[in-house]
Amino acid sequence: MSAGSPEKLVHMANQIAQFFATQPGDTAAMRVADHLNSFWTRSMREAFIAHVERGGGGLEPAARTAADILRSASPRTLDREMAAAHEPSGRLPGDDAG
Amino acid sequence: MSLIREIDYGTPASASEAEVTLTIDGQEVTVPAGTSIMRAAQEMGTAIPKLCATDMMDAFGSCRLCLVEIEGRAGTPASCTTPVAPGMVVSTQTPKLAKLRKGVMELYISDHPLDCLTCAANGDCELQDMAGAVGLREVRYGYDGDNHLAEAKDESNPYFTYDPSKCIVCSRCVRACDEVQGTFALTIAGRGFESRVSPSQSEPFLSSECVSCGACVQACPTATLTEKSVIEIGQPEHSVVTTCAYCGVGCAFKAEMRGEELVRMVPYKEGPANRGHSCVKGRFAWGYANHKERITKPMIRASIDQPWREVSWEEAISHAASEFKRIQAKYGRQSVGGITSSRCTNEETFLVQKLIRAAFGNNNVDTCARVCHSPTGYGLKTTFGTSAGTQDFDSVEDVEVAVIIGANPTDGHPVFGSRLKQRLREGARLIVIDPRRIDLVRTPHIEADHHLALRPGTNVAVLTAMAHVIVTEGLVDEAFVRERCDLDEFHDWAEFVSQPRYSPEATEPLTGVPAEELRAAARLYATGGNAAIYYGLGVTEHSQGSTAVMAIANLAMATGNIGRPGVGVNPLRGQNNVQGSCDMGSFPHELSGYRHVSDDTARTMFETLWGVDIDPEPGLRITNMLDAAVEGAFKGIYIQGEDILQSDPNTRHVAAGLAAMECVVVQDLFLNETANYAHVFLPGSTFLEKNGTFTNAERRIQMVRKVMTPKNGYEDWEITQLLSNALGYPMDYGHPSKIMDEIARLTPTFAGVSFEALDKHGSIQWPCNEAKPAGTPVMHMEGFVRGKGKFVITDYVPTDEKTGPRFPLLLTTGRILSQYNVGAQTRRTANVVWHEEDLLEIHPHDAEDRGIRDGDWVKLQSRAGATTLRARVTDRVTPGVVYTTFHHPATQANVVTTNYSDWATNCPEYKVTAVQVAVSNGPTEWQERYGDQAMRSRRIAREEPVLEAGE
Repeated sequence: MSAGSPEKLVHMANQIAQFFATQPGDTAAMRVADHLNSFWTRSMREAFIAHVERGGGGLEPAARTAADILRSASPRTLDREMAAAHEPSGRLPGDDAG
Repeated sequence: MSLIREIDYGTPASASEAEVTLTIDGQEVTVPAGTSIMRAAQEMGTAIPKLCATDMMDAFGSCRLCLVEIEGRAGTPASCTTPVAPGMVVSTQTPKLAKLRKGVMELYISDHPLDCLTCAANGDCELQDMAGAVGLREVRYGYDGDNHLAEAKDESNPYFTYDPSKCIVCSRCVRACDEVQGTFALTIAGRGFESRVSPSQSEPFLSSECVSCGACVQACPTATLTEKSVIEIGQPEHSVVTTCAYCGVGCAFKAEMRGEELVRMVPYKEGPANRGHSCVKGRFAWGYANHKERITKPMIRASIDQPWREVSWEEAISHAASEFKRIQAKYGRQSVGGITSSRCTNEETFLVQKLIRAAFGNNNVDTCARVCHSPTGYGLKTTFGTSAGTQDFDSVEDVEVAVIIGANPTDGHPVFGSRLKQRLREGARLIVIDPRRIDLVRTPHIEADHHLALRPGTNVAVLTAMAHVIVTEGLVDEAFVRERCDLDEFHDWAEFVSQPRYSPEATEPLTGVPAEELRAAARLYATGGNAAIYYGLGVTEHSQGSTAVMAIANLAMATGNIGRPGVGVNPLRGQNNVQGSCDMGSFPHELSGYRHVSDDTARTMFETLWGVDIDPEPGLRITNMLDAAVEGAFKGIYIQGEDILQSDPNTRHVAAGLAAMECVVVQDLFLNETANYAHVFLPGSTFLEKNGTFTNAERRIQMVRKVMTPKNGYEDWEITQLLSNALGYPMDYGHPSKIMDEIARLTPTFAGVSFEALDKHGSIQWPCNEAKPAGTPVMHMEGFVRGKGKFVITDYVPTDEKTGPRFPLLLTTGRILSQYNVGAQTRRTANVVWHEEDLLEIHPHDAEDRGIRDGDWVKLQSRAGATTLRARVTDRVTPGVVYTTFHHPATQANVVTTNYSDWATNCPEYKVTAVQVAVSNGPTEWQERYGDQAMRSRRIAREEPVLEAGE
């Protein structure tokens, strides 16, 4: 189950990539991958990776690289890489003042 | 339990820290400087007679009943208008005063009906009380002179009656409308004996500018302005403090009862969000609980083409559970999910997400915050480290510059709107950023310093241009930034916003905002003193919603407007418990307290207590659920208290998704639009029929207290518990307080919360834990939750929704005061007199181009679909922009809205739809088909007549 056509997933990934590409540093692709890990279901991520592997086009560069990261690195590995790059993961707690 | 009688101190409390000691009736009393003698006396337990004074308004000094004698001063001054002085010696009762007071009362009663025994105010009349207090025994004037006893009643307002024959012209109603509500709809027409209360130009209340907030009714000391429910039922005999179930302000009310019959809702003065005020909805529009269309029996049907069949609770629950199990066995664990309600309590929402995670075994749970403030969650979490607003509503009292962006508080958050107007009338400055001329731009005694009427979809360009001005003109609060924010990120951001392409001059062609106006607004925000930003869905419901929230946070940090009263970033949360719904783990990627499901420590805590494994992967959002349903992979859904078919964008897509499912379970009060596609209907309970808590826009957790037995037989949390048990996951909470105890055990920000603590404190703003046992009114005072505040680059990306020759106009949407959200509740009350239908606001130029006159039927067409509604020609909108509300299902406003959404959260872009408008001669084919399907779907197989549609 992909919860969205490939076109829709590509559109969403491109929007995300477009945002992170404007942020300082060269961590855009990693941050896109982190965003997908944090908020997309596993099947959405798998469908996205499959689309890229099939040669699906129309992707922003950071989105395409993010697909490669998702394929090769587990979420935990990515968490460590994000921390090492001092980038906040989307999986960090969102409110606790304690 | 008895009636809660709040003391009326006569005049407002003084905020002075200096103290004054005086003697009243031989007793020494110390009060803040600036306190009136009347209030000082009341504080020591002496009630000086009064009629025109009441503590929600400034002193007026007209009734001449509250006179006192002061040693060393001539005459008999009014105690309400006389402030205390050090060493003052006051007598509140002397023979001279007694004579004067009797004389005053004689005058009043000489022109007043003597029908106390049959009067609706019998037992609750201050005139009656004062006649008793002063010892009135005769009226020497007699009753034969001119009087007002034959004056006709005005019963035009559906909720209260104005009987001028009983009016003592104390002006409390006029002052309430001025000072408390800020509408200025009432005045005193005529002078002397001719003085009469006049709504607008002596019009009936209903056709006047009155917004039916009821402040005048509450203030009236006689039966002149009385609730129709009191006239009909009689005086209440006990009351219970509870919380309103409409908007995110979270007004506290006393539900005044006679047995289990609600007589009236009276705003609670101790209510920290509303301080004794309310709007028409909370005070009067509770009749939906008894509406004829309310469903009280469970119903099932095999397919949506069949009529409903009423069944027992056991059969309905058992059927729903067996269907979910069948579907999961056939299509997989991920093939079902649910939607929590932003109108139900925290406890109920917590149980729904627990059922989905523990009984369904997945994270396919979402909430309506998805379609409203999810960008607030993402944006504020990223910049500040916490996903909620930073202040409480009291903070508005210290505001010196208010920025209202993408919000219309006088319609959407009326009681906050009134409080804001009070502050503006005291001299605070106002900047409005909105495509439409909302009421706040120019309203009695208030005018915005700047109205930036931007083109829909250009929020980020405007906000970034404001940042350009602040940075390039040297208006940054460098000390604050250096101390509280990440300096490297600030420098990157400052360099970005300083680019010429973000100057107001460069952005003007995009946004439509004149450069000089934008510069002036930015300068005012940065240099005008305490500056607070209040924003709503006009910020979040965009493809750059999260970016705009971060842009707002950037501005607040750059100018040091965070971390104290009077400033901050204030998302105006829409629903009574949407904040709570988010707090309770209703998002597919988060457990309660906003911990990601992949967080092993958090998940283990839940798994240990719940005795199940929890999926560590994010689940489906509402939009994903519908997509998956259309693809054939998502087949069952449990929806509590939400109506996605009316509220969510692209109605056809929502309908297709629901139609593709095999088991849609709707738990609600009425057969709403979503129920047209349901297979199981579980009747829900209203806020009057349950115990629990709501969390308002201030992060304030307040009690909801049961005042009547649920007409459907169960509180909503009990129904979820039944379903969970039938699914095989045991739940056995005897009372909602036990659910809150579990929430507190599992959620650090709620650690100190319990029903007992709430009874003790009245309300608690989270975080509430060992460090903050009484809660946290203002956040980020010493530092940001994430440590250093994060500046985020906010590059403007135009929406994909483009205008063009076929669709040259931009549609944006909003709300109106008298109706609430999809109108499920308010359309089933007398509020329909104010807004019988949604109208399309169109500028005169655009109307002229199309041959459209005011009141004409028009077709509103987008790339997604078309609908028909009546036009209102007005210059509130700028040329090129049209506007409508979405309160009536027949309007089908969301047939035209698109699938575009916020990049980070998929919050739908309701506020930007390219449309064309043309004269029409009737409903669209879709509206007719929809109406037919709705009618067929609402049939209930019993002997009673077929139920009509919801309007």
